[in-house]
Amino acid sequence: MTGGQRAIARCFLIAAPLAVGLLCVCLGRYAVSLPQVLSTLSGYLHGRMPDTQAALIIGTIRLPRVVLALLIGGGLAVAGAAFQSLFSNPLATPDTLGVVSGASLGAVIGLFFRQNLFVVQVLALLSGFLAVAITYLVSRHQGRVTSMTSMVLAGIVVSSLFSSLVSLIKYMADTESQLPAITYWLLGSLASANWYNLALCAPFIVIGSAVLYAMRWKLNILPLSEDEARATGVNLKGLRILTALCATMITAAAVAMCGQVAWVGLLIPHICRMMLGSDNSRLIPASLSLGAVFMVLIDTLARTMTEAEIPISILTSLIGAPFFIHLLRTTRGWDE
Amino acid sequence: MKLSVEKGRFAYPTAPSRQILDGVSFEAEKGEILAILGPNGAGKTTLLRCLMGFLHWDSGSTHVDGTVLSDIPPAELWKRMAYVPQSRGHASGSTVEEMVLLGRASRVGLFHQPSPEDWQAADAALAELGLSALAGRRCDEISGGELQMALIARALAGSPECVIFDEPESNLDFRNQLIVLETMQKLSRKGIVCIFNTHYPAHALRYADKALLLQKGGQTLYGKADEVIREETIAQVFGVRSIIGEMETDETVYRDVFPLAVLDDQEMPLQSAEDSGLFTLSVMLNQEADPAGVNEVLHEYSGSLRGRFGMPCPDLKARVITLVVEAPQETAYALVRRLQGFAGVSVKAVMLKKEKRDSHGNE
Repeated sequence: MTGGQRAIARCFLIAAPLAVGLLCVCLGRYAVSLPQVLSTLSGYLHGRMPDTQAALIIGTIRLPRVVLALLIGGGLAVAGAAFQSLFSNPLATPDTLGVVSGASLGAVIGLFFRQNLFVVQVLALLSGFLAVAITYLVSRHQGRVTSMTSMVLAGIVVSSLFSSLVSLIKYMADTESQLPAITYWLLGSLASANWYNLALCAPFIVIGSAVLYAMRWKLNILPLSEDEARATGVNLKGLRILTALCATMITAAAVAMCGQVAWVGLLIPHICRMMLGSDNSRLIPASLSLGAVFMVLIDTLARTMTEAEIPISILTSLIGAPFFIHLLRTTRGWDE
Repeated sequence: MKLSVEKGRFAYPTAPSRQILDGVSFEAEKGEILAILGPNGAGKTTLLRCLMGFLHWDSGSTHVDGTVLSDIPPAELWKRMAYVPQSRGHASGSTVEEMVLLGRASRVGLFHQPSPEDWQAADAALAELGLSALAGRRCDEISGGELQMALIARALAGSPECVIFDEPESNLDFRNQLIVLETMQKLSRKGIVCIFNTHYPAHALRYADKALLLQKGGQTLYGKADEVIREETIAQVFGVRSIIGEMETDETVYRDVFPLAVLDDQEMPLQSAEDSGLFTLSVMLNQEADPAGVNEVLHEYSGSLRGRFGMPCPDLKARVITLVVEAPQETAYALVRRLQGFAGVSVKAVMLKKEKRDSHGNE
C-alpha cells in the first residue's frame, strides 16, 4: 500500500463511523432531519441547551445512544482482535477470560435487589474484574502463569461458575417482575444510554481501545511461539498483561452498560482478517471502525424495526452469522 | 561479539535426577560458526534455550563479551542477538515482509509503529538473501525452504552480531539445506557469530569452525570441528559406525561422513573416558568357546575385578560368568572388546554411574 492509499484508508476508517452515526441519529419513530441534528450539535458546542422537542430527542436520547453504540461496537471488536492475538486462537472472544459471565453476575445481583441502573453497572464492572482476577489466580501454578492454554481453561471454568450463579439467581427471582428484567438485560440493550451512564463506563472503553491501538504493531508478537516472541527482546509478560487488562476493561464496561452483546468480538475481527490479513497494524484500526459501524446499524435496527425494541444479541447473531458464513465461503477463510 | 558458556549444568525441575546438560563449556567469537551436534533427545534445543536465557542454568552461566547474559536487559540483548527457529509449524496469515519486519521489534517502542528505516531494514534483509520476490506472499503459502530463509531474513533485519539457529536445515530438502548452510557461512564471513544445532555430523564438519558434541547424559566433547568429529566420537555420540572420507574437486577437498551401520548396545562405546565407574559384565560362553583364553584375559584384568562368579550350565552346554569391574570406562570397554573377540562368547555390560556430588553445589 502506498502512502496515499494509506491516507485514504485512514480517512475512510474515521469518516465511516461518524457518517453512519449521524445518519442513524436521524432515524427512529420520531424522524428528525440531518440539518436539525447538525444544528443541535453545533448548539451543544456553543453551550446552548436544547429547546425544541427534536433537539431534546437528539441531545438526550438519540445522541448518547449512538455514541454508546459506536463505543461498544468498536471496543468489543478491538478487544476480540486483541484476545485472538493473545491466545493465538481464532476462536478467542472478549469472554475468553470469563469477564462477560462475571459482569453479568454483578448486574443480575443488582437487578435482583432492585437497585437502580447506576448500581447495576458498578456491580457489573466490579464483578467482571473479579472474574478475571479469579481466572488469573486459578491459572497460576507455583507463582506464575504456566501457559496461555491453562489461562483459557481457567477462563472456561470461571465462566461456567459465574454462569451457574447467574442461573441460580434467575431461579430465585420473582417470575413476575425480576426475571423478565434480568432476562431482558442479559439479552443486551442500549436503551439505558444516557450521558451519565456514558460518563461512568466510556473512559474504560476509550482508554482500553486507545492503548490497544497504540500497541497494535507489537500485538503481532503475541501469536509467535514462546521462544520467538521472547527473542524479539520485547517484555512479553508486560505486553500480555497490558493486552489482557485493556481488553478486559473494555469488555467489562461494555457488559456493564448494555448486557451481553454476542458475536461482535468474534465476527468483526474475523471479517477484517479475511479482508486485510492478520497484521494487527491494519486489523486493529479496521476492527475499531467496522465494529462501531456494525453496532450502530444493529442498534438502529433494534429500535426502529418494530414497536418494541428487539434485544441486541438476537440481531447481532441473526445478521452476523449468515454474513459471516457468506464471507467464509467467498474468501479464503481464516486458515491459521 | 564473543559468546561463551562456562560449566553450564541443567536438569528440568520435573526430573531433577536426569542431568540434561552437565558441565557444558564453549565459546564462539566474531565470524565463527559453532555447531552443536547430538542425536535426538540429547538436549540440543535445551542447550540453546539455556544459552539464550529462556531457561536458567542450574549452575554456570552464559557470557556476552564478558558480561553475564542475564544481567543484560532483554531489549539490549536482542538488538545484538537473533534467534532463527525451525520453520516447521510456523504458519501464519501474515506476509513475509510483515514477518521479517518483526525482526526490528527490539528497536521499536511499545507504543510506536515501525519507522521507514525499519521497513527499509526488513526489505534490505530480504534483498540480501534474494527473497525480495516473496515479500508480499503469505507465510503459509510459501515452501518450507523459503520460510526458513525468510526466518533468517527476519533475524538479519535486526542487524545482529550473533545469530542462533535451531536445526535450520533439518526439515528441508537437499537443495534448500545447502542454501541455508551456505547462507550461514555468508553471515559468518560478515563477522556474525553463528551457532547452530544439527544432527548431521557432515554439516558440522563441513561448515563449522568449532563443534560441541552432546551425549545423552549431558557430557560433551568440544573443540575444533575437524578434531572433535571423528569416527570414534560419532560412534560414541550417535551409536553409528561411520567413516569420514575425503572427496577432491578442482577447488577444494570436501570431507564427508558416511554412516555404515547402527551399533547396538553391546557395541556402543561407553560414555566419557575420564571417570572410573562400576560395571557388571555378563559373559556367556557356549560350547565353541575357549575357557582358557577367557581366563587368561580375565587374569590380565585382575586388578580391576571386584567380583567374579562362574556358573556352568551343563544341559545347555554353556557357561555363564558374571563379573564386577571397577575401572575407567575405557578399560572396561577394552575388556568387553577383548572378550567379544573370542568365538562363542557374548558379553553384555551394565554401567553404574558414580554420583558426582562435589561439583554440584559449589559452583
